Amino acid sequence: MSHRILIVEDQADIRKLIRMTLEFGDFEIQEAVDGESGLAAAANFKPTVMLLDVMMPGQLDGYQVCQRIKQDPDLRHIQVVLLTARGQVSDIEAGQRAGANAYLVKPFSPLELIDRVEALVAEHTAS
Amino acid sequence: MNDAFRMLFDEVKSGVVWAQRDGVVRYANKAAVQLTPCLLGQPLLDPVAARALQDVGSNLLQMPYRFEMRSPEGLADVVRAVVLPAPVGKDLMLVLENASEVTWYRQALKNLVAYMEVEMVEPLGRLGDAVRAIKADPKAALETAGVQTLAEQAQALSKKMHAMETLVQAFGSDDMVRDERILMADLLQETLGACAPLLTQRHVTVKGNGLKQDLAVYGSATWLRRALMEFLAQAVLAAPRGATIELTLEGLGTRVRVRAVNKGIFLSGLDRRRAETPFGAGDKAGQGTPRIGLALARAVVERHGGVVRIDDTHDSVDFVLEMPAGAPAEQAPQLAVEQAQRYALDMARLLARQSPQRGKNTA
Repeated sequence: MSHRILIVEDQADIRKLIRMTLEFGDFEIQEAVDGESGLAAAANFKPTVMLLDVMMPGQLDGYQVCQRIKQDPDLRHIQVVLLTARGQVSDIEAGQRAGANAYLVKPFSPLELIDRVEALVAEHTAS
Repeated sequence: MNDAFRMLFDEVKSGVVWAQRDGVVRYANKAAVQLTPCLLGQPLLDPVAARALQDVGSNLLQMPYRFEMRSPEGLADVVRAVVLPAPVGKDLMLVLENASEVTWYRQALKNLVAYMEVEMVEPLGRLGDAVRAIKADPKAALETAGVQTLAEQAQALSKKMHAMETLVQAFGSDDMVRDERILMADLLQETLGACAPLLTQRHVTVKGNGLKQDLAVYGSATWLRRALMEFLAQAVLAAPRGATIELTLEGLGTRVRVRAVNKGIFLSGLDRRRAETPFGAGDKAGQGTPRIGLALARAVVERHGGVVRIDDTHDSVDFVLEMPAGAPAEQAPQLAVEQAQRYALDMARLLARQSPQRGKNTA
């Protein structure tokens, strides 16, 4: 059974790169372009892992989406990986406070991305 | 009146009054009501304008008839008026333009010079005289001048110079915009705290609505804090003593809006320009104000992709600040290049490592 991955990222080029990387694995992939549609997609698609950009335009950025996912009993099992261009300690701490499971700093390597996703999927399967 | 005409006249910047030949008003747009008091079904209340319409309507004067009048405020603006034939029928049309407003905005530099002359030349002169006297005979000078007075004068001047410096930074700074994440609720609470002395001084109350909403913007926390401070201060200064301001924070799709509503007040043209123009310098001594007004707020917010404006509704004056919600839509081009390079570098390793089997996907 293939696991579901939801990509929430406003930059089309980055979404494409991530999708290209994940297509090497056995995953079912869906995309969303902003926080609001990402939250709706999470509720409908119920992904195992959510790759969530932090800095997105609109009323919900990555931190806010992550918080809402983790506060929802139906969605809190989703493993959230925050993607951001900001790798300072305070940003990583903000991600932890929002409940993120992992943090990838842009520019990230496709190797790092796929390793992180596969590790989270394995963890989810084991639990 | 024809709906098309009404729609057209409601949008124009000039004041437009449609009147019968006996001077009775049939229609007036919002701009006209701000420039001269008028009621539908009655002649214009301004005697100069009413006489002009009646004389033209009685064929005593030829059209187009041009004249000047004054707006009704205490410090009146000069209003240029022209009476024309209405587009249809035998009625008259009065078109009004605020000449003082046009002059004001064209003289930004003169306003700044006027501010300096009104607010700073005299205090600078007094301070200079005091310093010269201290140099000549320190003991005697300090006993007569009063150290406290000198300190207060120096402090007041320093505050004005700091305001000017801030304004120059706001208008001249290219690196004002940052990518700091700012929660609007937190920023508004800080601003309300900072404005507390002004609120107490003017006995103005702020009633909050939606102020705890989880809405984030990205930019420079330092500059946006200052912009919001100026924005709220102007709204408080425009409110009558003892008034209540409704302060609302709302998310509207891709925008975040802060609205400070003053009900039941009329903001004259001069008050509006004072709020929007740095230092609010006027034509005479004593008309200048030390605040840098909404101009700083506007400069900062516009740099962040937003707007600051004053909206007139039929029963209130609203100070409005809008900004894009969330992060900017465009990412730094350098980051895109670095990401592509990183991918190109590692993709070969990924290809070598992964099996050729591809996963299913849905778009």
